[in-house]
Amino acid sequence: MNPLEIGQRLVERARKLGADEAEAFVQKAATVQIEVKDRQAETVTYKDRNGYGLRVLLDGRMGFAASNDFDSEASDDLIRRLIANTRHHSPDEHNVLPEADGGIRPEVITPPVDETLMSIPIEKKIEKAISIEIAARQTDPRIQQTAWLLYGDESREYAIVSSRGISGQRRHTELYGLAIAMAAECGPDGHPDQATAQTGMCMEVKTTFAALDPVAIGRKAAGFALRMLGAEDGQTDEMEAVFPSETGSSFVDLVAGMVSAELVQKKKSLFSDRFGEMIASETVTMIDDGRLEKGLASMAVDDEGIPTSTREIIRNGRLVGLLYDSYAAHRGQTRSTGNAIRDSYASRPSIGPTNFYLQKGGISRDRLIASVPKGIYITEVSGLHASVDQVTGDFSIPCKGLLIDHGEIARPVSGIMVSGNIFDFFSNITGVADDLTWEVDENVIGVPTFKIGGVKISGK
Amino acid sequence: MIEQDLAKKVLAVTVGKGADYADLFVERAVYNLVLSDDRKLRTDLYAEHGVGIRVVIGDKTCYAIGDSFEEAALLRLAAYVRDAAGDAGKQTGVIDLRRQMTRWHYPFAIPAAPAATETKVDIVKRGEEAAWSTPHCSQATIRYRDHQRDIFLASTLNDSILTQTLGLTEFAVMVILDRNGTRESGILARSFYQGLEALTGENSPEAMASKAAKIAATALDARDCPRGEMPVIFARGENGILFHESCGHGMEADLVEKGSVFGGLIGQAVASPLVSLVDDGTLAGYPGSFEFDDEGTPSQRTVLIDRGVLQMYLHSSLTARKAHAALTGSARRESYKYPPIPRMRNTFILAGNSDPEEIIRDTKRGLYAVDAGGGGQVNVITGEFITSVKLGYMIEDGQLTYPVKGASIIGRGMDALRDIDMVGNDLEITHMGGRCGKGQQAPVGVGMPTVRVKSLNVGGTGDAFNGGGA
Repeated sequence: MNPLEIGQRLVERARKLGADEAEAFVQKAATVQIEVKDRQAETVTYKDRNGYGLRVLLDGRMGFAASNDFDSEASDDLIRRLIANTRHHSPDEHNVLPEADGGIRPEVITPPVDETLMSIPIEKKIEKAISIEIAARQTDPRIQQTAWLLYGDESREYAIVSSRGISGQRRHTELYGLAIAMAAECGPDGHPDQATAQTGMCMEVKTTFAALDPVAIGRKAAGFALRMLGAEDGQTDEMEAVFPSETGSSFVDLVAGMVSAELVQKKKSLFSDRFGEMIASETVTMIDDGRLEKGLASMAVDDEGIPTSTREIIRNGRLVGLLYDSYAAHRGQTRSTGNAIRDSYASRPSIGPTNFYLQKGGISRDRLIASVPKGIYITEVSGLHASVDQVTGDFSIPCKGLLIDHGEIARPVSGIMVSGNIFDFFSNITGVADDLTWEVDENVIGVPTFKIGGVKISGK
Repeated sequence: MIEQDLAKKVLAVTVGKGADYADLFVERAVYNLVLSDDRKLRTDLYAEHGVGIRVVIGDKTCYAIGDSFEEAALLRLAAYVRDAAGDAGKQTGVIDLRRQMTRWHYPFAIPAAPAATETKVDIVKRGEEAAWSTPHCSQATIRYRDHQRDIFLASTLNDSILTQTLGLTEFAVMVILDRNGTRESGILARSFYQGLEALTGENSPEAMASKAAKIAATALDARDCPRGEMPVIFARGENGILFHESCGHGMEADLVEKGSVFGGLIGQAVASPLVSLVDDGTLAGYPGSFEFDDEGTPSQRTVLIDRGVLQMYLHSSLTARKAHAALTGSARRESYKYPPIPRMRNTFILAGNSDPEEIIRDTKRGLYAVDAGGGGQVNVITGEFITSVKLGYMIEDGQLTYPVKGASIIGRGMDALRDIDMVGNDLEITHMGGRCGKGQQAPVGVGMPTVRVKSLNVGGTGDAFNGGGA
């Protein structure tokens, strides 16, 4: 049975066994992951990730259960337990399963699907992974090893079916290459001196095997490690900071996570009670676009089957939009923006961004850097999400960077922390470059190089 | 879940082309959640089953998973993994699963997973009531979780079959207080390798909600933490996460292979002689404990650092074989979906001789870090780590003064270890609620006595820190 047929059967059984309404999300996926070390495949993992998640509505209560057991006796047993559990829930009038939307919208141009992915021999994939390592090592003799080298791909087919008329399925392929390169100066004995070691990380995500360029990944990771060689401890200071896409993206991602209408409604977001207010400088406009042409996160409908949309979130510094799923939309008496996302079949849908980006500005990256008399070009930040206080927005995070002296990039520094408040951070953005770059981690985030003033740095 | 004869047949296929070793990991698991969020209560249920087959030839591992326990499907999966691993051109060994191992100790007095939903709902409602009755409470999340994993492992590594049941019972509270528009949150999360009996006394829903609320209330009164280099005293207990991040990961043998800063230093001084670091999987009830690891090696207490000197790394069969080291019982998998890798269990610094109050009295100016609940992370190659301090107190002339918040601490693991100059006699190991993430999630425990580090870089949002010193 294909995912759509399985979904139809599950919805039917759930209704028969007592649910008022039901919705099934059914997934069939195959994944491969290859870890390479010293030009050899060290670990090869094959995984099928098949399973379903079922939501049932019962007197205003929304139950959820998931399983990878498609056997009809097992799924009936799960549905019975699900319905019994759901009776214990608090009723909530905003619990709704959305109806099928009959409206016609322009077609979404999604990135191409690689129909051949599953049949590409494993040797070809291993070869691609090894070429990442070779490219990294060939960049410079000081690249002694790649600490981490991964290739992975996924071919996925999934369906959403509900008793409210939602019914559809989609195919999707995704591949990634990840390299963490290690650079070290050679000590007097000719061996790499661990005390000087620096790492550089690069991850690329594509949807077709041909599009994933191993050489670019390897070289970029190597370059990121090399530029930090010889870093000295930075000083406690206050200065301008420039964030390229590889570090600026985590700040934009933080906003993407906070503009969930549900978090705002429940007063769990930094942006609760801030709607309509200036929360960033006038140079800042952020957009979530689920219909972006060939965007990695573009899709016609979200994981509840609601059409996606293009949404301004911050316009010239002002908070003007939020992301909604059907629950938050009902609660906020508005329409869903098509931002219901599932981490996997085993989790309930929740609000998340699609292609979320900081709109580019008018000047080049080079001119932006040249405009900084004294500052720092931030090359690495770690643990932003763990560090930001989800209630006050205060943060302090370890960083590495390259000092900027009279508009020129100078020597590398490490051992510093940048601290502040996330609102001050965005309010102090004084320039955004025109080099919009897409970074993929948990979310798909677009960010140009930007600079901010008055950054507190603690060091020696 | 699977008959012994079938396990033998499957393993015979896996080693058919001369693999060094192979194992078959079968699991049936159930996960329950009861959540009160925004005063609305709901549950989630997840049932999962599957098999993972691993074949190792030389340094190469092939792993594949399937969701059928049928003989034909298992034999097909075994052949698939064997072929992917390649041909070692060796003689096929005889499969002899003569040793039968099973759990000798069953730690669940009141097994949580099979308990009635009503019971779990009642636990959450008690937490909900306590949290919302806190003055100024504006939002609260109360989360109960449990899971039970029934495991069957057949392995040619030790010619044995292992059956055991693993499980956790978890409870967490997050309270947000809003006092005249100023908001602060307090979080407390605990997990137990025990049943429902764990959620009593100081770990009752009421006690945990009240502790979370108290953290938030203190944060409301706290000032921004000063930034700069200063002596830092870490309060006992959960702050042990600091050593988990800054040292423990760098002593996991797979990360040693990847260039960890602790590589090649066995037998050498890597810490102050006051420091002994232990990773122990045998502590009853703690989240990182188990009887056997996921390769069938008995769990053990492993001394990583003895009075400052690095003793050993945490191994899986794969890393131990490469390094000619003994197994440490620390090969763990999140589930059948993953091959085992070296992981920490419950990691802590042993107690020293100092009176904790004396450590504070002896510090002229510095930071007393109470709650490093924000977690942290580490770059094992450079040894650089970060840990965030949710709540602390400034020390002036040997006295705790005002509370501070919003600090992060960074440093290099080995520098911090060497800079430890006082270790308290008050070791506490906690049932930490969070998971350790390393591609796979694993429940772990952490602990420490009160410890002073002479100097650390504290990043706060407050003013630059001037002078002081221990």
